[in-house]
Amino acid sequence: MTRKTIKVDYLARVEGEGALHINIKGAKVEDVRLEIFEPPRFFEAFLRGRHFSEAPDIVARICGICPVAYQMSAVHALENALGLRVTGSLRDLRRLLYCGEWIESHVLHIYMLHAPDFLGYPGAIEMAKDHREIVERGLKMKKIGNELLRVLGGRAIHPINVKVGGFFKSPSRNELTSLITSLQWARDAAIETVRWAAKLRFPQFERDYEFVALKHPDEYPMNEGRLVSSAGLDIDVAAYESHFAETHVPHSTALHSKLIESGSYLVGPMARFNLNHDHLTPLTQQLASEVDLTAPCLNPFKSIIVRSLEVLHAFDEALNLINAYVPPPEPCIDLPVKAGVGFGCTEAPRGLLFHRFEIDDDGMILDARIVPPTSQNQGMIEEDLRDLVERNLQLGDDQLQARCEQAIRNYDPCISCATHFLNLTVQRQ
Amino acid sequence: VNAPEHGKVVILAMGNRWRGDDAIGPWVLDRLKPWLSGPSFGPCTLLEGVNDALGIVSAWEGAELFVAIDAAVSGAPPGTIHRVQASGDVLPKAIGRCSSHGSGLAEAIALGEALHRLPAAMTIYAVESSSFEPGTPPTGLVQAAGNTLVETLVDSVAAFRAKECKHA
Repeated sequence: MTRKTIKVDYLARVEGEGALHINIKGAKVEDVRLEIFEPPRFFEAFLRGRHFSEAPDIVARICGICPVAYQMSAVHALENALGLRVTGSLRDLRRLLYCGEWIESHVLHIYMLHAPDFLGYPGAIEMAKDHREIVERGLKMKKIGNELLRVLGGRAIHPINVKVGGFFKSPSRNELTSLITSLQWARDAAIETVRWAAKLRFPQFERDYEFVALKHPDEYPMNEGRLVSSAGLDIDVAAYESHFAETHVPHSTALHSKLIESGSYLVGPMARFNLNHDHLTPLTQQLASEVDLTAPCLNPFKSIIVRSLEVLHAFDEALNLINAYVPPPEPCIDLPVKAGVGFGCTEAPRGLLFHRFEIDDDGMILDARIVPPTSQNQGMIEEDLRDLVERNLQLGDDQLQARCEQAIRNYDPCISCATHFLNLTVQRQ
Repeated sequence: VNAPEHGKVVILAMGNRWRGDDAIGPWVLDRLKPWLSGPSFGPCTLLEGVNDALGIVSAWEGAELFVAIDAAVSGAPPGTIHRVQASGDVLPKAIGRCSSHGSGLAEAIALGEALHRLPAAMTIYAVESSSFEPGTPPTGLVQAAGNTLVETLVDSVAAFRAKECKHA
């Protein structure tokens, strides 16, 4: 029986820090461990004893890549606790802000983190030397996403304009319409991105996933919807904790999330696309059809195409929202403070982000629970790797290692959110 | 007055305001503002909070002179000012951050070079630091170095402008 070990100390191009360990015995993978060793960050504990109005700014600090997702899940959960519902222009502004975050996060991952895997470069800098125009396009698109965040959120990183009930300041129509010309360029660039991504070479690899995402009757999900899965789950966000459980595994400081009845599941762009493709904008659906991407897409390596479609959707949606924008009478609705428990789930770029808050009569936070998307995908990443390695044992160690790293990056994991870099160790015995 | 004949100067303060000596970049920036906001210094963009490679490459877009100020730990005596005339691969890789959560100045310079988007002139000042205690200001020796840096930068921008006039 052949036993083998492949060890890689640091896996780059993921958000955060961790390690991967794989033991192979003969033709079987004995053990796969996505080891997340960053210390826990205790954000839930930081929130206890703080006033609810501080929550959007505190949770934004969980991640420099997806602060809006944390802010959105927090405000929705807190508004749920207060019995409030934000509608009209304020709701549209939140959706527009989320478009900005999807753009800057997805474009960063597509062009700088994931594309080098497909084009055979160790990183974006090496790729940029040979594919200057492509990288320049990505940089320009990301910058426009950042600009959306700056205009709506006050700054591109850790926005400061979001509050429970709305915003501190709502933008004027002119502030938003001034973005139209660059957004129109970016939408065309996003179309080219979809066509370019679809021509990349994808490993033959499909798995029977259970996809979980929000589903809204009228729109591609960002801020609202019911929690649905490809296996028939269809629940209100408030029932999340009855169907999903987090467990601690010794090799990870991030909790693993499972569906209580069925185990590992997949959240993120592929889940959203497979469960909601009919709500992409007509232009985005047209491009999906043009590049032959149909639901269900079961090859996780094709997530780069799905992300590029979501970027197109976000630019298209942003233009629609800006064209229809009528400034709200007030930037924020009144907040009658009362005790309560609230639940919020929104679609971070990497997938579902659940928040629960309990507040007292004075609006002080008694309890908080946050379940980030990477925690939810950890189990599925390990299952993908186990399957991928067993199907590719004929590959040399370097190739196998590269394929494993690429498979991890399919998920654009944000380990920093889940607790935070990645070492990779593959052992063949 | 942004005189059209003036090239753009971008000064980027890196580091965390709330982490002792790591705050030396913002500390210097605060003291530079009154000096460089005057019309005689032409268009100067003073930036803080841009620490990732893509953000830095965007930040120096169109700049004729780019200056970055940061804290450093190299084993030199605290308060030592390191000056790197950065271009291409002169910046040691070790200056980069070990986390992949964001790439830093070294990666920005490498990416800028790959994309032919480096500023015409680029200088990095790094002040040797000793304490990164949360919630504390920069230590005395580092503040003293900061004061020296303020003077150096005002003189550098003035000299850069004088050179522009000479070539105009």
